[in-house]
Amino acid sequence: MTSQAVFQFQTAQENIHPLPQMEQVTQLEAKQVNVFYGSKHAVKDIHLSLYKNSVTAFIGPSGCGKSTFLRCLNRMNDTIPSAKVTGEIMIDGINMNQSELNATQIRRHIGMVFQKPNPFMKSIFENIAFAPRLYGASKAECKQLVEESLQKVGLWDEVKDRLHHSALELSGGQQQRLCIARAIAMKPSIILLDEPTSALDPISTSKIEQLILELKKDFTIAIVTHNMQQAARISDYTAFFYMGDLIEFNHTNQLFHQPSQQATIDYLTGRFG
Amino acid sequence: MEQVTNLPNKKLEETSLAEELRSPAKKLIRIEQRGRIYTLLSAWILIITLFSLLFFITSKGIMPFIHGEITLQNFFSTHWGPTSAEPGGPFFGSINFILGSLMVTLLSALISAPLGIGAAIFMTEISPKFGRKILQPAIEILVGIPSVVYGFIGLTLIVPFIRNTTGSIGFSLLAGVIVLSVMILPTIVSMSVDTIQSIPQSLREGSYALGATRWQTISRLLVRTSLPGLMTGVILGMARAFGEALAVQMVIGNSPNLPFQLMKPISTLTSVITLNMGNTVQGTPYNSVLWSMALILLLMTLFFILLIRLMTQRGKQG
Ligand SMILES: Nc1ncnc2c1ncn2[C@@H]1O[C@H](COP(=O)(O)OP(=O)(O)OP(=O)(O)O)[C@@H](O)[C@H]1O
Ligand SMILES: [Mg+2]
Repeated sequence: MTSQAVFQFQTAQENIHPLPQMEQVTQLEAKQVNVFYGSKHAVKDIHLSLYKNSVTAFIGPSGCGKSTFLRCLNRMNDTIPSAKVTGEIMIDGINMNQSELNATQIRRHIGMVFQKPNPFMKSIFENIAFAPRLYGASKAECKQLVEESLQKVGLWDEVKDRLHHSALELSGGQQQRLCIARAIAMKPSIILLDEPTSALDPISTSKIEQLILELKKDFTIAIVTHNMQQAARISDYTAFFYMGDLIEFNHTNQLFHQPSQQATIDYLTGRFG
Repeated sequence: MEQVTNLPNKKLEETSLAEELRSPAKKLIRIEQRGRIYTLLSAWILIITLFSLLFFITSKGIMPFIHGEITLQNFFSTHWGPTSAEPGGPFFGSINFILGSLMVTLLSALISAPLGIGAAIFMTEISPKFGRKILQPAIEILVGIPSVVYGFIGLTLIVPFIRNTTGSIGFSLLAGVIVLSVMILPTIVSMSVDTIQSIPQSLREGSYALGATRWQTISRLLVRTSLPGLMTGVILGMARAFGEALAVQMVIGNSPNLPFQLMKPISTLTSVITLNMGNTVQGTPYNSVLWSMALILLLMTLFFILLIRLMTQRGKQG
C-alpha cells in the first residue's frame, strides 16, 4: 500500500457514516473507539452505529481488528489483561465503556456467539438454561425458555428427544445453533456474532444465515464475516475495516455496488495481497 | 548410523523405482524392529517386576492365615499384643491400625481438598500472575521437601503446640492429620491447577458472554467441568497420605488405640510396619503379620488407583 492511499483513508474518515433511513433507530453507537494491546494500536478511532432490528456486517482482511472491535461491544476485551479500550460506546443513552459500570450487567443485554462453537460440557438443556438460571429463573421458566429458544434456532425437532444428552454429541452446525439458542435464552437486545459459520459446512451455514434473518425481527445483530456473499445476503449495513481503521460504512447495497473508497474496491474485487 | 552396504552405487542407478523403494524399506523395517524390541523389553521388565512384587507381597501377606499361625478373627480384632504371653496370645489385632490409616487419610483430605482446590482456583482464575510467579514455585518447593522434614517440623512445632493448648501429651491423631494435610496439599493444588488450566478459554468467554460473573463462571462451569480432574488430585493426595510412614510415625504417638479421639495417640498401618519390622524375626507370626498389613496397604492403594481410573474415564465422557 502506498503512503498516498493511507492519506486517502484518513481524510475520508468523516463522511463514511451512512444516513439512517427514517424509520431506523440507533441501538448502539460507538464513538472514537480505540483499542490497544499493550502498545499495539489494533482498532483506531472507530465511529459506527448499530441500528435496531438490522444486521450489520463487519468485513475486512484477517487481523484488521473486526473481532477486537466486536468484543468492545460487550466489554469482552475486559477479560484480556493487556487490552485497553478507549472511547464511548453509547447504549440507551449511557456510555457503557466505563470501567465503573459492571461488565456482567452489560453482557446480559448483549449476547455473543463465537467463531468456534463452545458448548459447555453439560447437557443440551443445561447449556441453554445456563443464563436463565443465573438470573434466577424457575425450573418451569427454564423449561419454557429452552423449548422456545431451540424452536427459534430450528433445533427443537432435532434434539427434543435428547435434551439431557451431552451437548458435545451434536454436530458442529447444531452446536453453533445451540450456542445461538443459548444467547437468545438470555433475552438480549443485541447479538454479536464473530464468524459464526466459518467452521461450518454450506448447509449448516445457510441454516444459520436464514436464522439470522429470522432473528433480526427481535434483535439487533452485528456479524463478523469473511464471506462477502454472506455479508451481501444477510446484512443491511456493512462496515469495511482495514488495518484497524473503519474505511467505509454504508448500506450493504451501496457499499457493494458503489464503494466510495479505493481500498474497499480493491478488497471487494480481491485485489489485496 | 545405518548404511546401505549391499547396494553399490552403480547398481542403484539401474534399479527401478520400485526396487529402490524396496531396499531402504528393509532398512526402515530393521529400525522399526529395533524400536519395537527395545520398548517391548522395557514393558516386559516392568510387568515382570510389578507382578513379582505383587505376588511376593500377596503370598507373604496371606501365608500366616494359610499356615494357621494367625486366624482372620485374631487379625481383624482390636487387641494388639504380638509378644503377649497371656492366655490366647499373642494378639495380632490390626483393625485399629487399618482404621487409623483410613482416619488420618480421610481427615487430612477433608482439610486439604477444599483448601487446595480454592488455592488452585485463585492461582488460575483470580490472580494468575501472582499464582504463576509466587505460588507455583512455592508449591514446587513444598513437593520437594522430604517427608522426614515434615515429620521433624510436626514434632518440633505441632506436637508441643497441641500439648500446651490442650494439656494432652501432644502426640496424637490431630498432629498426624495436620502434618499430612500440609504434605498432600501441593499434590492437590498442582493437579487442580493443571486441570483448571486445561479448560479452553472459549468456555470462560462463553459463560461471560451469557452474563455470568467471574465467580458464577468458576462455580457453575469451571469447577463442574474440571471435577473429575479435581477429584483425581484429591485421591492422589489421599493415596499419598495413606502410604506415608515416616512423618506420620514421628507425630502420632504410636499407641494401638482406636482412632476416634483427636487428642489421643494412635497408630497406622505404615507406622506399625516401620516401627516393628526391625524387631521381628523372619518366619515368626509377628513378622508375618506385618506382611499382612503391607498387603492391606497394597489393596487400598489399588482401590485408590481404581477410583482415579473411574474418575478420569468419567471426565472423558464429558
Ligand atoms: N489478545 C491479543 N493480544 C495482542 N494482540 C492481539 C490480541 N488479539 C488480537 N490482537 C491483534 O490485534 C489485531 C486485530 O486482531 P483481530 O482478532 O481483531 O482481527 P480480525 O479482524 O478479527 O482478524 P480475523 O479475520 O483473522 O479474525 C491483530 O493484529 C492481532 O494480532
Ligand atoms: Mg477475528
